[in-house]
Amino acid sequence: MKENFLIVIIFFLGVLLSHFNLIPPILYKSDLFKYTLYVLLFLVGVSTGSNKKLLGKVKKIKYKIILVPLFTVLGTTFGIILLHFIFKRYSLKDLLGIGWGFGYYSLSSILLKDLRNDTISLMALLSNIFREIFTLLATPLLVKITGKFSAISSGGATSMDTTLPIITRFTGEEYSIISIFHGAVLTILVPIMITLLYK
Amino acid sequence: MLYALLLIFSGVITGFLINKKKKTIEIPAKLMLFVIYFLIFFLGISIGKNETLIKSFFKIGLESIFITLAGISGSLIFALILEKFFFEEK
Repeated sequence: MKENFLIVIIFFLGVLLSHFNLIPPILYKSDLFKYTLYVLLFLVGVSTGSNKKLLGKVKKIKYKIILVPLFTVLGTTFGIILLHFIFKRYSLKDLLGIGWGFGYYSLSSILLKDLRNDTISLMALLSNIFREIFTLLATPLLVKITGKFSAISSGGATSMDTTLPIITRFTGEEYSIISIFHGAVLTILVPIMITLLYK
Repeated sequence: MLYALLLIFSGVITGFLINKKKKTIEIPAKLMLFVIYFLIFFLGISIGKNETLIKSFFKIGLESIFITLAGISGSLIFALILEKFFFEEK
């Protein structure tokens, strides 16, 4: 949570410093971003591969657990496709790119800056920050109205870390395992799906 | 693009191996955070330079919220289907 707050602060610090021309051009006119992004993608893989919570728990629970992240992907995609019928300012591809961040705003915005442009990247950042905030605020209500899975689904990739405490509190301990699994699967799917989208 | 996917998968395999040896994984997690800080700062710099983007920040923010709400709404519907048809309590 603290780390996420810091990410937003660092982002706006960058915006302000460059807006008032306090950054030497050498820093942003290089391929440094691209190569550092590659390092990040490798590290995302490492953190997934070494996730002990992930593998140990899958074995204990029925195979059905895989349906939970699958339905989140299908649901978000479905919602975005519907939106595209009335919101044609952006291409379906870009809308999906933003939506497929599943709340993982740091990675999705960084990826989309490389694959697309600043506008789509900024939208991914804002949209996915909002997904996290929405989940933090709405979880108690969601559990009551649309059920326990809906809170996990709303959390997207964040259901394994930032939104996990609130989800666990309102759905119960047994759902926290599903929530961690769900978040971990989406976390690794975010870079894969966004990369394949713009292939 | 292929590079990106290769990097992710080689990362996963590396992670598996680290996990097997049961060494602490604190270092990649911390390193990852620093890399994210750096890249997000970079992204901020790039956006701060973009005058038109700064001017339309609130409009873009509003549009972003629409996209989020569409995505979440779809997810909620599908979560409801999941619960009703696949996880119904006996």
